[in-house]
Amino acid sequence: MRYWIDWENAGDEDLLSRYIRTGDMKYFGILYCRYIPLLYGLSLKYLKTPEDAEDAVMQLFGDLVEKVKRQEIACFKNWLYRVAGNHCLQLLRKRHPAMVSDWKEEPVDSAEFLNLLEEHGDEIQLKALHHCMEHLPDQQKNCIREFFLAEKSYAEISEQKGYGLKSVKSYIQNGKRNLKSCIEKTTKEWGYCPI
Amino acid sequence: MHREDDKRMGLLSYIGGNRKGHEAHDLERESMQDPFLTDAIDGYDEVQEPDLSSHLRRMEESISSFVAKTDLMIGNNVCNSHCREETPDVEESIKDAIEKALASLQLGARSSRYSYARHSRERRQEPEAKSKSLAATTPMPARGYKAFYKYIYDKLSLLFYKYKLTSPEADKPQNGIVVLSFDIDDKGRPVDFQIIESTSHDIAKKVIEIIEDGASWSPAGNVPAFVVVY
Repeated sequence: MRYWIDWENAGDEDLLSRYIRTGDMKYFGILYCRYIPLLYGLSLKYLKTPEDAEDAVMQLFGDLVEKVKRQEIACFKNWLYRVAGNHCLQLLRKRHPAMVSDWKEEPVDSAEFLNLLEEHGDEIQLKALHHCMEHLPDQQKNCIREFFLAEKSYAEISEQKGYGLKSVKSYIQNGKRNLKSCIEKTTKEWGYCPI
Repeated sequence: MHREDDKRMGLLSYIGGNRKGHEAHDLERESMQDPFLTDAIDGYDEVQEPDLSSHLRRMEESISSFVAKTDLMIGNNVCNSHCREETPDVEESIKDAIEKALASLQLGARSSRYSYARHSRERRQEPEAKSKSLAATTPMPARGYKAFYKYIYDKLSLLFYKYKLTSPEADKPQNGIVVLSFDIDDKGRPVDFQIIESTSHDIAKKVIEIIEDGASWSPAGNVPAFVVVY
């Protein structure tokens, strides 16, 4: 395990280019190990069992040992996310050949929008936020407030409000989507640049 | 500590059960801008397994030992012969590999393997010009033997790892050898495989699959004996 200590501060792209240049597996080993918790979680999401997920992560490692050398990779993490997502989908297709849906990345929120939900923004944006919050369903409003203002975790909100953990995530997700669209619409009506 | 390692520690703590407080909130907040993290958290929420961290530890240890093992295999095997030479004598290296494998397996020196080795030795005694022309017409993998053998051993090590994972009590696969002959077609693809020698037929078939999935070769022609020692 000494390799992990010597190279723990190296950037992803440094490790990758060193691996490609030298062919020394230890650099790719460090890089890949860095992402195992993310890869395993992603695989669990799609494959559902710890054993299948573990197999998928190890299988992907074997595939990527050569593949990384043949590809132009600007950002290893983003590339790995796409490759791993597609890998899981291929495994699912083997089990369910009728499955045709493509793998899609989770959408991300902009930093500016998340800051606004924490009430960091200019006057007009904050006014639009408060206006739109009032139009949200109660459960979404509660969860958004608890998460972004009280800085509670999903588990804490779930415990306090009596909602299931999945419901909390779903209320926050839908709440964000509704707020974004409402704030964009409202600020546009007020003649302000959208977020 | 690298930022991704930092995030990794946070995630490990989170999936270890620390789902309350600022650290948990910050990780969840971060996931809103990191789709990889969002999916991972969803995955851990999805599966109710009390000891997920032992799976993570096992994977890390496997990769760590895989790395060490690969270094050892590459260092000790035929690849090394190619690495040292700018213009490797392919047949010489194959012959060495066969002889080393035979010695390590304590098998008798017999059959086509040994006749190939003897044939190779005779070639070595021929004039230098002839030897060079042989090297020029012998099919080679696109990125050279070093990369090709490394590719094969990487795949094989993973195969062995998976075998141990599914059959922990089994003592297979043991050390062994695969010697294949095949042709390179006009498109540079390896075809018409023949198993000249193999300790395990299953592993020989796997090696063939790995070669088929691997790099193209050039020029077209015959590879009389391709050796994999494991």
